[in-house]
Amino acid sequence: MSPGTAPVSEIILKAENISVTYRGPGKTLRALDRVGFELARGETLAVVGESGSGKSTLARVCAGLLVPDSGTVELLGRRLETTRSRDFKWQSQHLQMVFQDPLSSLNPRQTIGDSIAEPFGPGQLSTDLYPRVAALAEQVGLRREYLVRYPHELSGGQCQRVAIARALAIQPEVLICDEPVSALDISVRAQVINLLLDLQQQMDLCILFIAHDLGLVRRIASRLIVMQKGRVVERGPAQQILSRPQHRYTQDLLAAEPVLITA
Amino acid sequence: MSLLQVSGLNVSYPAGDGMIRAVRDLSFVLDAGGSLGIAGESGSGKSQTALAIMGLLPGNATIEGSVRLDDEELIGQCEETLCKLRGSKMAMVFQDPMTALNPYMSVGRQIGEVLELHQKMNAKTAADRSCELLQMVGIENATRRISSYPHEFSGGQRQRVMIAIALACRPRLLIADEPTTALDVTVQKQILELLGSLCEELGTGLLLISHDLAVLSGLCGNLIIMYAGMTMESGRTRSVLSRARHPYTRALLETLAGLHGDEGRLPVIPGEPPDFLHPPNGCPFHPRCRHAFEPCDKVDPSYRFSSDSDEATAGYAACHLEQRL
Repeated sequence: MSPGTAPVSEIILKAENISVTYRGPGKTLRALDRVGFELARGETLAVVGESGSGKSTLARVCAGLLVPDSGTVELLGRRLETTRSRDFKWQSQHLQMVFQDPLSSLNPRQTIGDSIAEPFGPGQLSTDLYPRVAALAEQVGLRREYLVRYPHELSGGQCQRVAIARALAIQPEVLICDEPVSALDISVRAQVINLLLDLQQQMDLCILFIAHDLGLVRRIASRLIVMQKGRVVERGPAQQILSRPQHRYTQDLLAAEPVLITA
Repeated sequence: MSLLQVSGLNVSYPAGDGMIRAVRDLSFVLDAGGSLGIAGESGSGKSQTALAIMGLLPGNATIEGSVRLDDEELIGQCEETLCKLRGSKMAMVFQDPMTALNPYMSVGRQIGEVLELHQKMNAKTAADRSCELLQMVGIENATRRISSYPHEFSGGQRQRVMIAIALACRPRLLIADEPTTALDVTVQKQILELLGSLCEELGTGLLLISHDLAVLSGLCGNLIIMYAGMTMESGRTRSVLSRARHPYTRALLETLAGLHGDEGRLPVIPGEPPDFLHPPNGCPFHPRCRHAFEPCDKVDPSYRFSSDSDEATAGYAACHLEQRL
């Protein structure tokens, strides 16, 4: 399906009534309590909350990395049975993830080129794949000479570009970004956000953007979910929530954002 | 009176057949009971500066220059002397309280240890004082919590415990290196308020290190902006942030405003942070600077820097544009 012909409201990813409980000795923790959302083609939905709110658990469930106790995830209209490896393979062709710490999500013993080529199959970067990998590197703003280097030779921002290139190699419909810029310096953060915005437009991606920084969300997301202790406490258009937060928790979050005092 | 006087501080490490210069010719003054913020991105040398002051740099570091605390030179002091100063006269709060605390010791013991060591208190007095300190940093049920272990506290509470340990002996200087970076925003706000009010109450000079200008702007009277181990700009916090003179500071502020702005592409600082093995000649920021002109890639712009405290507080920008204006 070419991106241009898709109807605006086409739902790509849909989560319904997701509940997850972590059980420890003598203790249980309700990490997600009946959480759901819909993500349409080309759209960015931000999930915001503090640590322990369940936002990363939600990302992991949607990526098929964690089986929920109850609830369903539908990708492209197909219900995911994450326990089946055949499904997992199908799913990873349509949904990819970018994590917070780029250095720990790249194999330190693999060259950058091999890392980006990995979605095409295991092993070293072959000569017939090279043009595709080089094009991907270029698309995320990495110079070709980096392809033969190793992750430790690159800066944090460059490594995150590699992780994005690898996630986009097989042209997925959905990209889940779990705090993709939190570990990066401010000057590099803006570059990576711009890259995501550009790629989204070029590829008509839908992005599930997990963040703890409400300010950043205004830039990137059209809709927003605010989570607290495993529950959705507020949802709606990002601009509206950020300018007129209804829930007490959202108001507290916004009030706690550090403000630059210049006068 | 100046509490801390750093002049011409250089920190470097051997790397291959060259040297990595982590801190370059850094000079600043912190007044007694005052507050100074050091802002910088990773690799700017801000944490190296803190460790150099505390005498905690690894053995392979070469340190040059002078660090004077209450007119006592710290560079070149023996470990024994530094041990006596650390915890009593100067103290430090680190980014991650879980790794800074001992998981096998109750928090009461960890606070009491400092008091027994430096103030020669007996165990009983130290325990009582520890309890007061826990209360001071806002931990409820202090009498009961004193015997709890670090894992039984939340991240914010652990950082409160760290602050209690650091301030136990009423040090003259407290260095806090990214004390709230690992915490949630609502907790961050509380911890910053606590740090500010306690330092004011105890008359402790605060050296606060952060990558977040907004965090520093609320607490620090003076501000230093570091890049690639060098001071790019310094002065009164308000004037640095409202009338930034250095292009790097201005670019940082623009990016910061952009990150919290409305939809669409963000203003960016192009390029990558400097490569420490092959740092650029002249001004370290010139490859990313949109105002770079003729001397920037040849001449180090910090030559005008003087360690004179008046000039430092009056405002300083290490930029060739300053001379052209």
